[in-house]
Parts: sequence; structure tokens; C-alpha cells
Amino acid sequence: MTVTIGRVKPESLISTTGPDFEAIFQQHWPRVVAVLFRLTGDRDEAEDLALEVFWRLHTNLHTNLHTSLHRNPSAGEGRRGRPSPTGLPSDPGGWLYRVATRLGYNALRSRKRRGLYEQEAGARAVESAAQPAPEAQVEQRQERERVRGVLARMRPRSAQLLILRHSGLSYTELAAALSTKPGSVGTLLARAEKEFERLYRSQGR
Amino acid sequence: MHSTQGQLRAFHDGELSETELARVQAHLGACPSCRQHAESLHARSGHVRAVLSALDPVPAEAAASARAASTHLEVYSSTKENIPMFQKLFAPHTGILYRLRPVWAVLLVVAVLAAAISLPPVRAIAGNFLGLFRVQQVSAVPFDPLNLPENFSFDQPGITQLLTENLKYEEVGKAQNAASAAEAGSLASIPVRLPTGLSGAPKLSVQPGVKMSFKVDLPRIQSILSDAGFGDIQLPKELDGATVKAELPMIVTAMYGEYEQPEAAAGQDPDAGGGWCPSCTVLVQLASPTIETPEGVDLAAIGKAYLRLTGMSAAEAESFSQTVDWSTTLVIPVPNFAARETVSVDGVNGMLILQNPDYATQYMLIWAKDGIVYALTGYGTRPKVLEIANSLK
Repeated sequence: MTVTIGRVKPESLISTTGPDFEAIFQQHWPRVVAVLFRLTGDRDEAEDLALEVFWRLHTNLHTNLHTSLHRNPSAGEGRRGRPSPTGLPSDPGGWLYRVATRLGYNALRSRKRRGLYEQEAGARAVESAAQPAPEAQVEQRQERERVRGVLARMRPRSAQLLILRHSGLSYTELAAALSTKPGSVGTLLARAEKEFERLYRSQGR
Repeated sequence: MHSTQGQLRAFHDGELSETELARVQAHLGACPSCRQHAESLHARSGHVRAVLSALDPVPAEAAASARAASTHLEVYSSTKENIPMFQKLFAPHTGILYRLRPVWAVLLVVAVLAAAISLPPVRAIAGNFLGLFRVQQVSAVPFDPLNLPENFSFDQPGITQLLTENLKYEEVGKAQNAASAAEAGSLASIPVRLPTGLSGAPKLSVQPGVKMSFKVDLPRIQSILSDAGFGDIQLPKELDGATVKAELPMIVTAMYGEYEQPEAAAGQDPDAGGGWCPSCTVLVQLASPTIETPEGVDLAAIGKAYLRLTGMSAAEAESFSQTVDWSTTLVIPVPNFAARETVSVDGVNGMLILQNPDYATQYMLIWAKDGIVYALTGYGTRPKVLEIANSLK
């Protein structure tokens, strides 16, 4: 511990994370995790992915800060090294949810591939025999798998849109997350819901 | 003109602009087919929502609060950046102990140097300073990040001023790459050892060392502690006016694996990923840092203060401090959600810290041998870590 204390120059001890990142984190953390939980169904995995998302944001804030400071050496002065306004993505919220749903959706798809493999190997049968769960839980798990199976088969953008909408994002936020216009969100949602319903019914048991 | 599907869908969600809303409402009143269309969109949307709600977390699945998560984020970023965790642990922005910043500030060579204690054999060479801390072993103390002071900012003038006035800081040597272990070793004046259990050539570099001296202004430090909610911590009176010196020798870093630079900036392709290297393994080695404290200072008292600052209760700190040889032990605070264990490595005892003990995970292994402190960080399983550490030549 003594080691890095020694490495820290007094003036650099002042946080460059600043209130901006902190505020974004506080504001969006619960919802980002909720989005990822819906996609992955696993709390730990959802939190890990959410950490990845915020870490990327943090990294980018710093990268941009350095870049902007290089371009304009006076940009950060007087703010004690905090990210200048230009250091923030123009819309961190949209960026966060875009990254979160992509990561979550990729996890969902790769999990589905793994899941199929496990099923073939009979791993699932062993697992359920070893840990008898209450019937309601089994049903819930099956239903969740079914819903995620449908999402995995949808067009990624549609699936992401549905999950984000269901997680409570407004049309403006959805537009930012999907890099589209708010005026197009209604059309995209209607299409996504149609696609979801068709696949859900066809996958009915 | 009929309303579009998108308008009808947005109408259902109350997301139309005022002018659009008026237009759609007027049209729906007059157009049965659009009304029917709107109703079927409405019904489908309700059905999809009901089905999707199966994915909602039940209370038992609730996520960590943002406050707890921010601590996880600190751990996460420190491991992700794959700069030696040993350094990152206390780095100002991303270190595990980021939250401890205010504390560390105060600690600068005072409380932190809790570890600082007198070591009889070296007293003779310590000159005016009778206490000299040298790392001979490594231990860990768990702390609960949530116990750390919340309403305290490092930016407060008291601390900045204290450091400006009382801390002297000087870098020794400069950062540079080295072509071979021998070259790195001669730059840092230590015998450099590398793991033979890893394939590929490492990227070798040395980083500057640091010499610091800190003149202790005890009343001001006590008042800063008190502002941080640690009013009951009393540092030894003998410290007042004393000069504490610390020296961190040059560090040799060997990095194995390809480190990807973060390229995608926010707003660009977010999938391009940040600069992290899951396969990188990093070995850091340096001669033991030293801390000199003046004669007559009760170092165990500083040790206790240090433990208190990591969130321990007075009673816990008291009993823990008695189990530690403060003159020779580097006590690393480890967040209580990480796994830690003492392992036998390289012929000595080391401290292994794992984010998750059950499978491949971010790890940090620290040990001290023959006056050199080693820290190995990377991603892998427990046996693999030990295999690498034991292959040093």
C-alpha cells in the first residue's frame, strides 16, 4: 500500500472522475442493470455487464477529456481536472443503453447456444433432478427461457427496442439509444411487437 | 389521410406531440378502420408487455444499489485496466481504494504508514530515524467499502493545503522500456526474475521511484480526521512536528499478452470495446518500499488508526493490530467481497486475492522475498496463478 501512495503526486490526487460521471452512474445504474437482467436472467451476469458498460463510459470520458485537453489546453483549466463539458458524450444516456443492450443481447444469444448444447448433453436433466425446485419456479424459469428464446431469434434491433421500452425508456430515450428519430420509434415498436408475437406463438408449447 | 401505424402506436403510449395528437384523435373519431387498427395495436402491445413481464426481476433478484455498485465498479475498473493491480490499488482515480482517497490523503505517510514500524536490525543504519519499515511479508485486512466516510471530499482546502505545505515529493529515475530482464534489472538495481511458465516475450519497462518526506502537522491532521467522521481516532502525540520519510524504489513491470488500446470513443461504435486484455498477465517487482518514522512513535497506534480508517470498529482494530508485526508486514486492505487467502508461493507466504475463488477470475498475488516485493496480476484460475508465480527464474 505504501507503494502507490508514494506514486501519487499531491496535485493529481484530486479526482478527475468528477461529478458528471458520478451523477450519470447514480441516475442510470438501476435501470441499466434491470435491462441487462431481463436479457440475461442472471443477476450476477447482469451486474458484471453493467459494470462493463459503465467502465467503458468512464474510459471514454477520460479518453475524450485527454483528447480535448490536447486540442485545447485551456479546456480543463479552472475545473481542477474534471472532465470538461466536451468530455462527455453528447448523450450519455442513449450511449449507455445502446451499449448495454448490445452486450446483453450478445450474452443472451451466446447463452442460448450454450443452453442448447447443455440440453443435448443432458446437463439440464441432471441439474433439475439434483435441485428440485417448486413448481412455480420451474414454470417461471421455463417461461423466461421461452421469452428469451424468442428475443434471441428476433432481429437484434427489434429485441433491444422491446427490452428498453419494457424497462421504461421514453421514446426520446429510445431514439437516442437506437440512433434514430423519436418520430420513428412508434413504427419500430409496432413492428417489433408484431415480430415478437409471431415468434412467441410459433414457439408455443 | 389515415394515421400511420407508428402514429397509432405512439398514440397508445402517449408519446405524440400535441399537434400530432390532435390530428390523430380527430382522425380516429372519424375513421373506423384506423380505430380498429389502433385497437389491435393496443391489444398486441398489451400482450407483449404481459409476456415480457416474465423477465422482470422478482424482489429476490434485485440488483445491488448504486452505492454498493460504485464500489464494485472501482474494483472492476482496476482489474480491467490491467495495469498492475498493485499500483492500481491505490491509484487516485480507478484504484480499489478510490473511496479511501480522503483517508489516503491524510494517511500520506502518516496513518497509512501505519505499517511503518521499527525493525531492530536496521536501526543502526536508520540514522536519525529509529523506525524503518521494510516489507518482509504481506497480509490482508478485509474492509467493508460501505463503511467508508461518505460526506467527505478530498477537494477540501484543508487537505490540499496540508499537502502543499508539508509534503515534499521527488521522482527518481524515469519511465522507459527495457529490452531484457538484465537491462530492466540494471535500471532498477534489482535482480529481475521472470516466470518461465508463461509463453511469449514480455514487454518490459521500468517506472520511476519516488522519495517523499512529510512533516507532520498533527493538529491539522486530527481536524481533517475529525471532519471525516473519525474524531475518535487519536494519532500518537510524538508524531507532531516529526518528519516521516518514505521511499518507493523503481518498479520493473513485465507484461505478457497483447494489450488492446481503447479506440472507440463515446458516440462511436460502442461494440469496439475498451482497452482491456483478459489474457494479459503482469508481473511487477521492486525493492521493498521503506518508511522511516521518528524515534519513540508508537507505531501500533498508527496501525490501529489505519485499520479504523478502513472501516473497522475500534475493538476489531485493537485485536487485529495485535496479530500483525507492523514493522515488516505490508497490510493490504481488501474489499470484503473479494476472496483472500494466504498461499505458499516462491518458498514464502504470499497473499492471494481473487475476485471469485471458484473459477477463472481476476487475481492479484503479492509476496515478498529477499527484499523484493512481487505482485502478479492477471486473469486465470487459482492453480494457474500459483504455477506462474512458482516458475520465476
